[in-house]
Amino acid sequence: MTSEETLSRKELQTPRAAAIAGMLFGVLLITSQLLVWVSIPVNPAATDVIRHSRAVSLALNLRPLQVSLFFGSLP
Amino acid sequence: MRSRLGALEDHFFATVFMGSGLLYIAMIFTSAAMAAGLVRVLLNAPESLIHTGGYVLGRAQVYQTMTVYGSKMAGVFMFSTSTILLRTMIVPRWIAFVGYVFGTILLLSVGTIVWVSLVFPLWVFLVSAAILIESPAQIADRNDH
Repeated sequence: MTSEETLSRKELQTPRAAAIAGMLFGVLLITSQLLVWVSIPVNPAATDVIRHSRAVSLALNLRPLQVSLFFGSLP
Repeated sequence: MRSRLGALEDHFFATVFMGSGLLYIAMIFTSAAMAAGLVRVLLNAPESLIHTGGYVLGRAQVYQTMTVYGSKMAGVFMFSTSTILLRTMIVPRWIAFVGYVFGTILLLSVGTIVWVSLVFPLWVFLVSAAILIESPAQIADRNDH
């Protein structure tokens, strides 16, 4: 395999990885959004949030991962 | 996506594309930080937050940041990306048109429809899947017609 072929193969791999990152971003964002909606009502009282704090915290902890994947999908 | 655009990338739309994407991320982080702080204080000292009205204020801030400002930035991102997609034809045209429709919904809805925030990740999934599935030969074939 020539160096030119290797280079073009590497170039082709970037959009593939970016596309996978974009798909994962979509899935994770929808999952965390649904997690919050299922756990607490639209206008939650403080007690609702306290009762479902684990689910809400999990959804919030997914945010940095989603952001990383979103950045990964941009190249 | 930008790798596929290559030399076809327009500077104006590229700036809007990156700018709105970064601002959307900023909104996600801001709202998540505010919500996480709210949950932490609610778990440790709920009385202080409820009686002072801090809980209501915090909740409204999280809602405004994500549903109003975040959604608007997502809408702008979808518009700029759809325009780039339509000009370069790197994905089927209908995905770009769906992007315009979803972007319009995001820009015009002022936090009235709850499920509206799902259209952005759905559309990103759609574009990414199209990029993953389509081969460069198929893109070249579409551009020839």
